Formats: sequence, structure tokens, C-alpha cells
Amino acid sequence: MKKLLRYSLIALGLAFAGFFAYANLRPLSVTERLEPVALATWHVNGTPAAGNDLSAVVKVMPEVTACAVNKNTGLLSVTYKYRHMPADELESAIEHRTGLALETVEAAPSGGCPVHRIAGWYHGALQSLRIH
Amino acid sequence: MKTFTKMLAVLALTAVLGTGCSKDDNGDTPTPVPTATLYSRLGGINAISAVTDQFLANVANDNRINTRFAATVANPSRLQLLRNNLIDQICAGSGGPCQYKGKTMLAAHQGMNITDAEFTALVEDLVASLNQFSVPDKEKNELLAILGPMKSDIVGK
Repeated sequence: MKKLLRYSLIALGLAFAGFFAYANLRPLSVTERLEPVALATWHVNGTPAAGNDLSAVVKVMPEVTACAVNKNTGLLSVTYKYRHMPADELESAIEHRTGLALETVEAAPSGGCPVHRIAGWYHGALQSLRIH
Repeated sequence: MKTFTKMLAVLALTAVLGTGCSKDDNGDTPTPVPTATLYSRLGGINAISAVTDQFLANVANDNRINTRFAATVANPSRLQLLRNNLIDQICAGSGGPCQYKGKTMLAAHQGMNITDAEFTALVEDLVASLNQFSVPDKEKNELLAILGPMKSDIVGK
């Protein structure tokens, strides 16, 4: 029993080491070398001061790669470099710059666009093991 | 020796006549002008990634279709996959150095029952993102012509 446990642990360790090596040594595609981004959506409470364009103010923030404002629904969506700034800090920074209150839009629990053969968790595991 | 000299003279004469008789009477050999790929005209990978990010932000704000993507964009790994696949599709389709590794459009949208209106909304969000970056009409239309045929694999499946 002890031997079985030992060999199982060794096998697991080797598998993990192999996975770790693969995550760090595999050649990255042109797309994979891009800085990863996250997307956050908020309800905007209030209106910007006269002459201030919310989109223009948010777009120039260095961590932000794209910004969209829907004036009809009051939604603000931002793609941002999450390694530079987490979502809550970004929210505070936007509120500070614009003087507006943001309310996080609750995410759907499941579903979505299943476009990749490799499950999201596998890709996430590869990314997390990679030494940047 | 005389025979060898005669042969040399004939060869020299042939070489001179051959050089003089070029196809182009002006003496210029027309060279083909390489046309830049749509990928390079769009601005390369950084420009495509910027347009894709704007497209994702537009979709997230679009109440006609954002519920279709809500769970995906809420998960950073799945969003990254979606983003990378979108960039790869545009990059590869426009002649860039990328390879699309995702599911086929048919397999990806099987059972989702995407409507014509939803597809149209998606295209409008893409066009809006292209307009935001002032992509010229020629390049815009070329890109839409590449992506447009995917509609039959997406709508009503």
C-alpha cells in the first residue's frame, strides 16, 4: 500500500513537472503573446458633468484597451489589462476621474460562447503555470 | 586554333544578339508590384487586437446579444480564449501569421439557435469598432466579405 502511494505520488509529481515544463516551454503564437485583458461592465449612476465625455475620459487610462458606453441603458463596458490593475481598483479609478458611481453588473452563472476546443480551465491552468 | 576562334566568335555574336533582343522594346523588365495583405493594411496584430477589444466592449454593452456572452466574459480564461480566437480568425483570414485553433463556426453554434437579428447586431458592433479606428471602407468591406460567409454556419443552427 505504501509503495503504491509512493509511486502514485511520484507519477503525479512527474506529470505536474511535465505540465509545468510544457506551459513554459511551448512556443506562443502571435496572439498568445499579446497582453491578456479582462472585461468589466457597470451600470453608471448619474450623468457626467457637462462637456465631459465618459468614454473619452476612460479610454485614455493606460490600463484600458477599449471602452463602450451605452447611453440608453447606462452601461459602461471596459476591456483592461488586469495584470496591471484589478477590477475593483479600476472601478475606483474611474469613479475618481469621472465623479460617477459605478454598480457592477452581475455575471451570468453559466452558458456563454463555447468556441474553444480546450476547456477554459485547461487554458487557465497553462496561463497560471507560466512564469512571466 | 582557327576553328576554336571561329566558335568563340559565333558564341560572342550569339550572346550579343541575345542580349539585344529583349522582350521589352524599352529595355525595362516589368516587375510585379507586391500587394500588401489585408492583415498589413489593417495595421497588423496590435491594430486587430485593439479592434477586437473594442468589439468585445461593444457586444458587452449591446442588450440585443450581451446575454449570449455574459458567462464567457465574466470568466477571464474563457474571455481570453474568445478574444484570442476572434483575433486569430481576423488575422488568419486577412493573410496574417496566425492560425485559428477554435471550433468551426458550425460546431461552436450548434444548438444555440442564433437568430438573424442577433447576427446582424453582432455585425453592427463589429462595424462600429472598425469605424472607431477609422478603418478605410475598402479594408472594412474586405474583412466583412471574409467573415460574412460564416453567417450560414451560425444562424438558425
